[in-house]
Amino acid sequence: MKHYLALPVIAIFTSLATLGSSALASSDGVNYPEKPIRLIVPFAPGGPNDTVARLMTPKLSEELGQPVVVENRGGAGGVIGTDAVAKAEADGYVIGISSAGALAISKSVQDQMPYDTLTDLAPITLIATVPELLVTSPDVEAQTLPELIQWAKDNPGYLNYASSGPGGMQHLAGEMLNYEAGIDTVHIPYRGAAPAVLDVVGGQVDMMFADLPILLSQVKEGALRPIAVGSKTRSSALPDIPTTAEMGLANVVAENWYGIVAPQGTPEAILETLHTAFYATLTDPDVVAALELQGLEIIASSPEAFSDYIAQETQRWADVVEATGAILQ
Amino acid sequence: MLDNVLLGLQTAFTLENIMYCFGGVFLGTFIGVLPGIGSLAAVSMLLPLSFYLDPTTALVMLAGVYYGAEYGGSTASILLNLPGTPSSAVTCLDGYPMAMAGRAGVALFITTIASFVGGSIGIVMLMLFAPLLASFALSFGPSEYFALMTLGLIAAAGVVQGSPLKGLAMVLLGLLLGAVGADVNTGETRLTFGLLGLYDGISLVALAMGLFGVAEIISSINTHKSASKDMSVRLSSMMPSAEERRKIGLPMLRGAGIGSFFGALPGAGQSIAAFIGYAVEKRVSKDPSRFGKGAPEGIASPEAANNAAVQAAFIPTLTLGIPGSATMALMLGALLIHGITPGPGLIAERPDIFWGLTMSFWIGNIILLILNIPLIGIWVSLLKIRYNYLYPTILCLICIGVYTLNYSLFEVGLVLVFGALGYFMRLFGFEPAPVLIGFVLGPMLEENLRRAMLLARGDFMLLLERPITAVLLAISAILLIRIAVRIVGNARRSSVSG
Repeated sequence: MKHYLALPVIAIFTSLATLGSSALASSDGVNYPEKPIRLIVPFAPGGPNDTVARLMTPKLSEELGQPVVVENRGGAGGVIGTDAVAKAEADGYVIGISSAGALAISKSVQDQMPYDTLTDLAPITLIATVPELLVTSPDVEAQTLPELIQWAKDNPGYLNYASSGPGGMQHLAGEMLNYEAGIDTVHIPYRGAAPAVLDVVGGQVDMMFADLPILLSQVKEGALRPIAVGSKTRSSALPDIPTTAEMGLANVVAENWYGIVAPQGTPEAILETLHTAFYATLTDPDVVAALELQGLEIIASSPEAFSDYIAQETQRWADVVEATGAILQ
Repeated sequence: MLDNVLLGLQTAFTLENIMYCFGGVFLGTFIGVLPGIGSLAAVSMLLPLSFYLDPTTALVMLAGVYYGAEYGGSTASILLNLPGTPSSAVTCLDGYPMAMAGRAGVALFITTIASFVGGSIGIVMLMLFAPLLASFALSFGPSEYFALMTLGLIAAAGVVQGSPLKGLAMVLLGLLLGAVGADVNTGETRLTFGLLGLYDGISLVALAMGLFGVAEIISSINTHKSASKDMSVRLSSMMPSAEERRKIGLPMLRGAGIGSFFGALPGAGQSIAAFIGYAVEKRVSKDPSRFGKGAPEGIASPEAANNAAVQAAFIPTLTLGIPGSATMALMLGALLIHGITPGPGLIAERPDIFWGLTMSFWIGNIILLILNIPLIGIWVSLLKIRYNYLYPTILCLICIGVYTLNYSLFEVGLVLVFGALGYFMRLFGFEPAPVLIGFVLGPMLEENLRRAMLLARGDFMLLLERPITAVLLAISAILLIRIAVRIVGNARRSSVSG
């Protein structure tokens, strides 16, 4: 019996101990890593970033020869946790798994950004992208995107769309659809994606854009109707669902992504070690299979390509915010 | 049904699952007893373990921690006036006076029984009505939630004990504290003073631990003694009297019913269930003045309610595949890690998981019952520890617990600020419970009203066309009128007599 209880107790103590130990070890990068590495997830446990992190850490720990410990620091749509990475000591022992919101979108929609992604963080790799999927409640009659748009035009100001909150990708994707298709659907914000999805399933709200993985089982069970994916190519998880571009809205592009960042100033050699370990993890067949099951399209890019991608996305979302007028401050 | 139950029993009754169930509920009880460390932190620390376990076993263990914590949560409320979990804050109101009167053993015994009854009824609901309750929950849109929260806020007025005016002031303070953070409609920040740590609002745990826990510790600084030196802990001294046994029967059932209802609604939660359970008992009681002075109903009902609510919380999560709370999201995460995407088809596709888990709830609740009765003696003897050893330890535990939620020192600071606030509130006779009610219900009420108004394009009358909303608002109006009539009546009587 003791054995079973010992595990959780050890888990608690080791996670507390790793918090304190970061100040002690040396960090010249020669023997890196010589102590556990903290992987900050800037969201509460159980969310997509968290799942991706936890699916990678066993293989990653093996590659690095040191345990990689997931640390959840949620708040402010990922900004607080990402800021913790930006402000951490640049010794390679604190890295973060952040995503489009905190790395590229927040800059355009939040006024108190405590960091600048491109100058305060060192990108390591773009792990994967995941399309935003437009779904409707089964009560909505339209079966395709053109039908939906036509219906919205015939009944202006009637349809509602839900989102995980103002200024998030789901909100901006909805506004982008309004703008590009010339329709007028009303934004109904929620606190997080789960309650929003629940109300679309329940028919309280007509439709929403959300990360494909969180909708997948509802779509497969027929509780939600998939209309189109916001990625440039079709998703391997739902190959029958057309992209928004195929349906004539080439400018409605919305895909979330997850990437690994370190504090700016982390020694080049350490970044190299980390990138190699992440690359090995993201090409491991078991990890790949597990991540693809979550609906992710794995990229495993180079640091330079990730950096360019962040710059590109930051500019694109800034343009969307400006064009649609979905500005907060 | 019988086949499913058998399949569930087969799954739950493997040695491995029973062991992990025991481990989960045992750890959960401790997590619940320790103020500040909640089931969310415990489940997230255990989540990595689920990699190495069968998905059902992982869920059995994590769920055990979750509902086990609800059993333990009331222990510190009763003994020390420090709620172990926010949902057991209301248990302080009558549990602590009972302990002060030397009846801590009885109070703990009642909570254990009430927790078991509440939990059991919650499981029965889960077994019999999961799909039905889930589709009912889906019919609750923003306007229904708004009406429900309105009703809750008015009903919870019963929790106020002393001066109604002071109580009202504290509810308003709670509403104000609840308004802190980014506005959910516009993203505009309110009352954050430029602090990023307040962007998502004040954490419920920080507020509850500060107002109740730290405030209690500060006010006891001058007390060097221990609470009680000669508390007997024999089984006979823990047994409620015949009169008490009679008194808690119906409140437990009512509490369990209320808890099952609120638990099945993904947008409500255990804290509300406990508050409403308490308020209802006070309202139906022939002698409401006993409440707050150690009325056994005042602990039986909320404890049955919060335990029924944790079990019923699995209904929306497992039948719809959409988590109702952060802890539930974690549990679904344990399935996702194994490549099982929980959705509306989970019960049909993986009956072993659903029914195995449900049957493990029975095992867990029975273990908790057996585990908790002997533990009562140990908990009560904790009171023999001198305060100058006990309280610094508890203060450390609160700080560690709050810190582990988000690894945020800011929130530890918040706890201390609210501790100081709670201490001054005590000095001037303001109660902390109404603050918590305003804080929990206010944001939900506001958010849902604004969402409902957006959906109705600003036409409030459209809300009243929805039957559930209309009924709930009508009950709220009747309650409000009755309270007003009583207050006016009391005022007249006192002016006549004075």
